[in-house]
Amino acid sequence: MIMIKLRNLERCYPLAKGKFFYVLRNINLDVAEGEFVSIMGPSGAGKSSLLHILGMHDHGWTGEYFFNETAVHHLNAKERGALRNEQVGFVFQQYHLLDDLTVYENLDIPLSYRKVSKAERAAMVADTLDRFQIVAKKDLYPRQLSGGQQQLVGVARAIISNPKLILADEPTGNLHSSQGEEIMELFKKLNAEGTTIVQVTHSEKNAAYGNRIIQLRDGWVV
Amino acid sequence: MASDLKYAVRLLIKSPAFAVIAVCTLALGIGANTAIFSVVEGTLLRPLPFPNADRLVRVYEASDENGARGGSMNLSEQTVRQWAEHGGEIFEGLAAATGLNVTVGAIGGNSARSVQAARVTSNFFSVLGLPPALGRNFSTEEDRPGGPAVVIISDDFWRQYLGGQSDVLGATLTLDGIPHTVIGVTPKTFRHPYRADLWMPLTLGPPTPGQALNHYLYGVGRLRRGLTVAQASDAVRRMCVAINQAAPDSNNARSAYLPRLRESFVLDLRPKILVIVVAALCALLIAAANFAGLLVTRVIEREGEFALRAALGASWQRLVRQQLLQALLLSVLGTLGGLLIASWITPALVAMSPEGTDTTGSAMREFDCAVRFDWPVFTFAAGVMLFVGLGFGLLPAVRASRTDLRGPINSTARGSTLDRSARRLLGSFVVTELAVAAALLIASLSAAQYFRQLVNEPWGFSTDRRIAFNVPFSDQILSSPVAKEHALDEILTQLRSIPGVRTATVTGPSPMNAPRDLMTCNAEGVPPPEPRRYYLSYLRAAIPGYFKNIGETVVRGRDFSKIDTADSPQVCIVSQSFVRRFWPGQDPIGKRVKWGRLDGPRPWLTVVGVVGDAKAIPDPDDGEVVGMVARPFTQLLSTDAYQVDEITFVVETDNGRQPIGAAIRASLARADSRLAAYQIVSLDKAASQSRVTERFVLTLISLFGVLGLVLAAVGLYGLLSLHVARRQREFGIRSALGATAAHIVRLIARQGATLITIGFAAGGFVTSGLVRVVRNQWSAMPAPNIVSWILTAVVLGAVAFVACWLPARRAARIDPVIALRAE
Repeated sequence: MIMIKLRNLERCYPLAKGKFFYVLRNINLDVAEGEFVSIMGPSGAGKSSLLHILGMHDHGWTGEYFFNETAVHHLNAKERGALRNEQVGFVFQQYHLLDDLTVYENLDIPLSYRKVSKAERAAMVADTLDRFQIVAKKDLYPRQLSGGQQQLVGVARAIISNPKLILADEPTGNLHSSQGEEIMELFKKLNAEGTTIVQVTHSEKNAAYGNRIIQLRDGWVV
Repeated sequence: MASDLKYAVRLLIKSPAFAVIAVCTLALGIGANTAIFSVVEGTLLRPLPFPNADRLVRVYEASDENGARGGSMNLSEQTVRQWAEHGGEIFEGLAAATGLNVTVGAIGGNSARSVQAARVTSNFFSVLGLPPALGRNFSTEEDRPGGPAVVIISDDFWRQYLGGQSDVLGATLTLDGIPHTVIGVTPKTFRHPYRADLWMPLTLGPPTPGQALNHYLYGVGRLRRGLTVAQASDAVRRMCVAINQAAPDSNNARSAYLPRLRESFVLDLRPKILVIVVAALCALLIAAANFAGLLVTRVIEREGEFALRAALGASWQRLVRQQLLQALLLSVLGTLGGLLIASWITPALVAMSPEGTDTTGSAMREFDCAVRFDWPVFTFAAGVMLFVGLGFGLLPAVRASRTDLRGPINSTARGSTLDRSARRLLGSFVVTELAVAAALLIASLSAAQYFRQLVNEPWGFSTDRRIAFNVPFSDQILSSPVAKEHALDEILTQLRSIPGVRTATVTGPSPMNAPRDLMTCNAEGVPPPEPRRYYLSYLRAAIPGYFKNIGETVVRGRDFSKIDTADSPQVCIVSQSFVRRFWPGQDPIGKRVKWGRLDGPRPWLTVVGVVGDAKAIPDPDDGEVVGMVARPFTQLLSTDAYQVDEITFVVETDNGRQPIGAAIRASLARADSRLAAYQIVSLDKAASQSRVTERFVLTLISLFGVLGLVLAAVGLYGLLSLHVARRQREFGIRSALGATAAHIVRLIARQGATLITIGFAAGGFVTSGLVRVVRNQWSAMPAPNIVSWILTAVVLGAVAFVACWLPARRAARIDPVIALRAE
């Protein structure tokens, strides 16, 4: 079943004198449920832009975007936010953990935005800590963790609300190779459990964890 | 250095919001404080312009040995005579004075007019140490009975009425019909006492039995060199014992109350000034906290840059210099702004400063009270800000001296949110500002409510459509009671014939100046207070129908009537507070009031009526005044003891707007050509101009409250918005994780609310501390009431809400893509 369907999707930014700079051009793309897709391409090709559009963070595009047959292009910002909260998890290259929150609190945040009861949240966080084997680190702050551990928490945070889709923006970009491998193995396992994954990567090796590679160049799918 | 300065300028231009908020904060803090203190200094605090002014004391006598302020009073002629004779070891000189209005005959193009004057003993100017600007002071022969008629004139009078003519000495002025020779002109701005324009010799009459009871003389003394006020007070006490042993008299003074002369003018203002000073310091503290908070925010924002520079080899001196230059630049701009603000505000405040005739404060107007720019306060305020600027300029040095540079550098690279310690530091500034602002607002509101009540206290009679004016009524013009009675009748008849005049009545003193005439008395059946054995009440002279015409209700008994003649039984009307004080729960009609001491020669007065209380703005020197006793003019005029220089006519007009001054003057001229009407004023206008000192203090306190609020608002907005701006990344992450705009706003609002709650709670402690400090000096300082607390909470809550909500709303609109891309 097709989870993501993009038709004639374009994203541009206005320049001086009424001109535009296109970061994505005429994107037509299907991603089936359960796929593990890697988006590759040189810097400035539009990879991260595409990922943020898929994650419904960016609203300034044109074209058609269907998510599980829901026409995202017809949804307003609030509806897109609700859909994103329900279906999508994000993993960032910079981890983007909140510095002043402990590991436990960082995991709790996405749930707190989803009207999950406190008791249920506590159970889900405990379960995730256990699943990622980071129970001993639950009271530590991000700065007290290594890069790999921080990204582990980042992934744990992305999946804690059981999203159907995980979007990962160069998830291993800041990690050394062995840490990177750990994270990629984790993605592979999650994908095997049924989660659809779309990752942006520069690494051929990481891309090989997926089952499809999409090449972008100057905003075009090539 | 030049490159650092250029860099500092560039940084400020790059962050215009920061620069504008910082400069405005400094300018407001420095400018408003300077302007307000410039006015306070000129009108209330400036030292007296006399040599060795610290040896000048105001002299009051007391009938007991305590010499306390509350039990003391002006001097009697007997006391002046005794103390001048026996007090040579205490006083280098003792002078006395009394105020009066005199009618100056037509001079050149100027018609006859009434002028404020003073009669002073011949040594008055030499005791003060004031040489005349022109001519000479009085000689000892000139204040003796039968001495020459001479006058010293003020610089203003000389210039305005005599055209500043150079041959003024020896010129003749006709005062109350008697030619006087001008012998001197006082220095510019001197109008002391009684804001006089003319000074004439005061002749003390021969000793008489009742003389010691008439305490009408203002006394001023110059203490012998080396003598303290306490020593002088002891010496006066001993002198009084000796005088009483030599010539026993129960009316002899027993001690003296000797406040320093300048302090005597501002004695009751000191606590009010303290309130202003505390309010000013609070406002300055808020401004300083604002500035410091902004600088700290700036330092935190640039911490990564500092760390990077340090890692690249910048010395800590270099880092500090750069930050200090920026602080210095802001301080200079803020100081210049402060100078501008002070020069704008000062004239406006001068226009609002006390000019009226209240007892408190106005005496300072009799000296040099021109407002001058207060450089010491300006320097202090600017210095505080510079100190804050330089102090917080050192912060980067402290932070840069940390051995671990990795954190700050990484945080720059990541555009990190504020770390916990930075957030705590900024939070502490917000809390400090809120606490001080809350304390300032609560205290200002409480004090303002107190002064408002004083200012707006009802007069107890009608001021609507009523015009009052004074007429001289001295023995020199109208020599007998019959002549006075006749003149009163004539004037009233003429006034009532003016078109548009409904009623006309006469009284003394003016309805708004009850404290001018005091009466010693005792109430029937009530033991007299020891040791002086009399109470003080306000004395009012009234004609039949006065109370009805002035709109003061007779609540029991009757008004005066035609049957109350000089030969009929002596009667009086008393105020409700008099009845409450002496005959609570009893019918006062038919009871009697003794004029003077119980064993004195003056008559008993039968109470025939009770009227409501009229407002009297008490002279703090009078001590307890037990209410008002009104007497019929006819009966008062027939007694020698009633000596009055002026009486007040009140006319009620149809609409209170028509110009009536000319008609009044014409009426007076028809009734008696020697009489002149002066101070013609509508009672409504007079009411609005009463309590000018309190109004001024109220204005200043309100201004400081508003200033504190504005500064706090600017500071809170500045700090909180920068705080929020630094958390852009965090809000971006939260948005990416599912936070809605409402979530972000709620988060910021919750954190803001926490700071507000802590700040307000701390403000409560600061308030109680402030109130305690002020109450040590001013027991009447009102305790903060619930209204002040609630209003402050609402106002500060609203300010903090806006300060949180605006940046929160902005933060909620942050596109997570942009926020995260900023990485």
